[in-house]
Parts: sequence; C-alpha cells; structure tokens
Amino acid sequence: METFFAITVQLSKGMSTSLQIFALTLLFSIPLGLFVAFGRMSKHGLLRGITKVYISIMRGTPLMLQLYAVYFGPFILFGLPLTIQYRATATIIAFSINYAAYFAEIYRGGIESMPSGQYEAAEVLGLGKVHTFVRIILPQVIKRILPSITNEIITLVKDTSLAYAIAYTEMFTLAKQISSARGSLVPVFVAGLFYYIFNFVVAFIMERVEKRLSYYEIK
Amino acid sequence: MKLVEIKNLSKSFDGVEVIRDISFDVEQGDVVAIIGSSGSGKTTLLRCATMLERVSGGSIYYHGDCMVETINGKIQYASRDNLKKIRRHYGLVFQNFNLFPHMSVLNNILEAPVKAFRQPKEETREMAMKLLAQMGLEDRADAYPCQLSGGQQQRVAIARALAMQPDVLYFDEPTSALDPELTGEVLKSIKDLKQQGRTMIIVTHEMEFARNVADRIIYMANGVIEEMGTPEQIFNNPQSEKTKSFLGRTLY
Ligand SMILES: Nc1ncnc2c1ncn2[C@@H]1O[C@H](COP(=O)(O)OP(=O)(O)OP(=O)(O)O)[C@@H](O)[C@H]1O
Ligand SMILES: [Mg+2]
Repeated sequence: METFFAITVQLSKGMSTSLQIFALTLLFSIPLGLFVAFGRMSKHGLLRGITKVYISIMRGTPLMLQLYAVYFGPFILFGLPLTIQYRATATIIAFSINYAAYFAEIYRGGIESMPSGQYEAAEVLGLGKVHTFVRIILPQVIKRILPSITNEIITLVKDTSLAYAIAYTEMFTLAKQISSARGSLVPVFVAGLFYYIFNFVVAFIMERVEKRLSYYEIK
Repeated sequence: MKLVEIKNLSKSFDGVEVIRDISFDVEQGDVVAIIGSSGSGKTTLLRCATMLERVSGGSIYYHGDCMVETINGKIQYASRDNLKKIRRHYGLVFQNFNLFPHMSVLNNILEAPVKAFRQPKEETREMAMKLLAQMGLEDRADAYPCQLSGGQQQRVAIARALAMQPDVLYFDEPTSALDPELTGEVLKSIKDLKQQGRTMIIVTHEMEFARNVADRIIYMANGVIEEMGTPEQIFNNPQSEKTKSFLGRTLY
C-alpha cells in the first residue's frame, strides 16, 4: 500500500501534465473545429478545398507522425533549436489541430442534419444569419452531436499518452520510467487506473450535460 | 389600399417553369384561399412571396413598397435595408410548424420581437400571453413544443407569426400535417382571426373551410391561376373545365 502511494505521488507530476494536455487541447480544438467546419462548408471553392485536404491529412495519418512533424518541422525547415519547452507547445499544437479536424467533421454532420425549416422559420421572422446560427441552430446541433463529442473526448484522454513520442513527460512516459527504475509493473498499472478514472469522470460529466439537454426532443 | 400586389410572377427550377404569370392583389382585411392539386405551384407561390425563393420574373409589392420588380426582363430586388422593412409586413405559418424545439412556447414567440428587434420585454410578453390566450394556450406558455399536440404546436406557430404584427399572414396548408381530429381547432383559430379583420392568404386542401372563410378563391392548375373569384363563383358556378373537374374530384 505504501509503495502504491509513493508511486502515485511520483506519478502526480505526470498526471498534471496529462491533464494539462487534455484541457488545453479541448480549449483550442473545440472552437478551432468550428472554424474548420465553416471552411469545409464555405461557398468559396478554394477555402473548401484547403479545409478538405487538411481534414483528410489529419484523419488519414497517425497522430504520432503529426507530433513528429510539428516538433521537428521548425528544426528541419528553419533550423530552429529543439528546446525542452517547445515539447509542451508542440504537443498542444499537434493535438489541437488534429482534434480540430475531427471536431470539424462532427460539427459539419450536426449542422448539415438540421432541417431547413428551422432556417426558413428564422428567416421569415426576420432573424439575421448570426442570430439564427447562434440562438437557433447551434444549441440544437450541440444536443445532436454530444454523443460523438463524448467519444472524441474519451479518445483524447487516452491519446495524451502519445506525447511520449517526442519525450514530453506526461503520465505514461513517467510511469514507464518509474517502472524500469523500480523493476516493477505497478506504476504502469497505476497509470492505467488513472486513465480509467479520468474517463469515468469524463463520461459522468458528459452524461450530466446530456441529461441537462434532454428537456426537449428533436425530430 | 393594396396590401399585397403580385404581378406576372414566375419561377423556374433548373429551367423548368413551375409557376408563371401569376397576378393578383390583396386588400386590407381580405382572406384569400389558394386551392389546386398537388404540384400546381401553391407552395412555390408563397415561398416567392415570402422571399424564401427568388423569383424568376415578375414583381411583388407590399403596401406599395417594391420587394422585387422586373423591368424589361431584368429582375431587381430592393436593397437589403428595404427588404428588411418589407419582411415585417408579412408572416408565414408552415405546414410542419417549424417551432424552435429547444425553446419554450413563450420564448418561441418572444425570440424575434425581443431578442432580434429589441422590443420592450414586459410589453411584448403581455402581448404574447394575449395571443396565446386567443389561441386557447395561455396555460402552455412554459411548455416545450415536443410536449404539445400538433394542433397546439400549429397554434403556437400562428401566435409566433402574429407577434411580429404582420399586415398579412400566409398559411401553407396549416392543417395537412395534423390528425383529422386536430384540424378543427386550428381552422377555428384561423376563422377567429378573420373575425378580427386579419388579412390572410391561405393555401389549403380543406374545401369546406376555404368556402366558409375566404372572400376570394384562387384556383391554381399547372402553375397558373386557372380561375379566381368569390367562393360562390368558384364553387357554385365554375367557368373553367379544369376547375369543374378539380372540384368534382375533391368535393364528391
Ligand atoms: N426546390 C425545387 N427544386 C425543383 N423543383 C421544385 C422545387 N420546389 C418545387 N418544385 C417543383 O415545383 C412544382 C410545384 O411544387 P409546389 O410545392 O409549389 O406545389 P404545391 O402546389 O404546393 O403542391 P402540394 O399541394 O403537394 O403542396 C412541383 O412539380 C415540384 O416538383
Ligand atoms: Mg405545397
């Protein structure tokens, strides 16, 4: 039991790093995804094309590879130094642009599934485009896409461990280090427990949000 | 005073003309019923008149203000600002209500006047409650659309349109999506509006209702006005063969 606590204390720094990657990625990718979705649905062919390619690359290549690209890219292209601080930044950038692509497709699906009658009712009542989107469309889209968003968020919790690829010491990297130092698998097990509890909390919160929005039905 | 003036209106989709050469006027207090078989262009006409669809030709005026004009084949819509003003002259009630499902009945009604047009909240709320009372729904103000029957939802939609204080109210088959036992309550609400002198243009398949409520009937066939007249003229003494056979099919 004592070792268990000792390990948890040792791991705690990694936990906070993982939490940080998680929180910052959501903070940036959720709004960024909305802009990408707008680009993807834009009237301008070029913008639509660019976002389409962007989304297909983000979804079609491993996140780990994207991490490498963001981390080593500036060094290879411009000869900028590889600093330890940049590992954190690179991780957040890579995760954010990757998740923004996934969120964008979810948003797009939600927005395109809205019946045209909602737009038309708003238009005849004289509501402007922005008003219609923010007050009429978006709240309903959020309700529709919440289950898919929950899936992405749960995947993100587990994906944070990929930061080890560029030696950014989050939870899992640390667990492996401690594991080999102690010659025991307990730290890795504790790490697994941490991800599980984390996702348990995420699922619980998302369920609450879904309940909150269940006061009405969408046909 | 001509509230609505429609001249030589036409609309094509991908080169296929769906309505053509539609002309009629509506005076203050008029109730006009538009009848005709499926696909004759009734919805398209209302959608052009409410700017949900751009016309392919013709002119539309509200209160003498030009919404769209076609001169020498050139279609010219009014400026954005003018269109904004003109839009306030009319309201539209849809076949499938199109209420905002995430808002309570009261907020459905208040959204446009209070949130978009910045009318004073308390006064508008009182007016909304009066409209709901008129529709027999004052006790459902806090309900959500999914908790209401179709007939109740449609009456909320009518109240929502009226809250913008339009001069003329369009209805596109307001009872077609309803179970037969619920159509009566909606038709009755529309009759009450006529008693108050509301100007209305109603697309309907309910012939009995059209006959009782309308001052004028427009019969559309294949995208044109085949015949137009008082209910007496159209129902008792139709001139066109098409009208006769349409009425023969629907009435008996
Ligand atoms: N957006 C569109 N694109 C192409 N064709 C259309 C479109 N909207 C309507 N049409 C066609 O125009 C014709 C008239 O349709 P409209 O919906 O106006 O008829 P309607 O008289 O309202 O019929 P109903 O009684 O069934 O509602 C139909 O042949 C229809 O297929
Ligand atoms: Mg129709």
